[in-house]
Amino acid sequence: MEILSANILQPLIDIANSVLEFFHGLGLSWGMSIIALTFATRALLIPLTYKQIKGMRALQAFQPQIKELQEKFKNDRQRLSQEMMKFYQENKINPLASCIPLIAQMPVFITLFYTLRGPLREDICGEAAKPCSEVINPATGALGGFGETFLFIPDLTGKATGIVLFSLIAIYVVTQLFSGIVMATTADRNQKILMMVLPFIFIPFIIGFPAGLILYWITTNVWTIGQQAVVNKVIPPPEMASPEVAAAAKPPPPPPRKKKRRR
Amino acid sequence: MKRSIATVTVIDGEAEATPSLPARIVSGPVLLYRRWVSPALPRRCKYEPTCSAYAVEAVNRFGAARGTLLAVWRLLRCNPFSHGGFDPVRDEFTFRVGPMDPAEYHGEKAPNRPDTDQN
Repeated sequence: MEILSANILQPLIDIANSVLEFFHGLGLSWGMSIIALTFATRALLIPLTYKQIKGMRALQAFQPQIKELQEKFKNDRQRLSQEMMKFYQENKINPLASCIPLIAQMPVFITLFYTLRGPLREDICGEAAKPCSEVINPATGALGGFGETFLFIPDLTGKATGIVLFSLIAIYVVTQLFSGIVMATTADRNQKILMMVLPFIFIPFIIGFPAGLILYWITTNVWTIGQQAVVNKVIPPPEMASPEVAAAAKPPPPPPRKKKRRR
Repeated sequence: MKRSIATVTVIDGEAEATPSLPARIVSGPVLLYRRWVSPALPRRCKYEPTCSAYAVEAVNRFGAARGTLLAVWRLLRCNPFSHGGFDPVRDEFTFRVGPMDPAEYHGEKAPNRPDTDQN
């Protein structure tokens, strides 16, 4: 299974590794290279955010029609969503980001997982089979010391343990919670609780990740927080929290009832 | 539970048989996502029903294999360059789908062919 997915993603792994090598070649440490790779990935997605902002701006011009729809279907939430989506589509002003970018995060994440555990180890210490801190450095005769450390992280290519792991998890949870808060478009209490719980659900998985992957996740959260702060400046939050966007931002409503399946 | 698609379909009384085992295996993770992950995230799907709701319904109605194909096709359409819209799972298995008028879906309006196939 592992070999299979590694093979499928091999082109992506090669790209990720080349990008890391590129940044390292510019003189960045390996840890900074991971951060730079994360920023580069997120920067590539900026046009999408820009599109979304444009969509939301355009929305403001359509307030009267949207209000009309809300009035007309105020007792049928699901029908309202359907009509809203139709309205967005017809006027080409859909403010929602679309699903593909969310799904695409998965392969990126898995790619980085394999890159950190293979090619990057080879880059750093010439040994893909084990974390660089467990490889004997011919220069010193001691373990590690190839440049696999970053800040308080002793080895980006291996699992963190003890206080380092604890700190990484704490930073991850805090940044994840903050990015959840800045992105939140709902006032629903249950949703908010779930949003608060979600980062903790990921903890058991994170423990097994190479530390560099947690660094990636933290970095991408920090980017989200910063980007959202900018977006909120460009589009004042009250506009975003307007009822129709909030309605559109509701969790998946129950599926359409098949009132009339066959004509 | 309102959230369970299978239940809703059964309540409506016009469900084809209960979803097959493969269908349930395929829709399981999607249902978990819908129950535990997606509510914590801001909405991003530009379609109604959302891609995950669409996927579950498609798999329940057309089985694991064809349902997954429809779901993947829908996901591919839910990209930054499309405009979304109302796009329910259709009566028959087809990839010729696109935004639809809710009024038509709810039987308030005669089908408008050119509109149905427009993207």
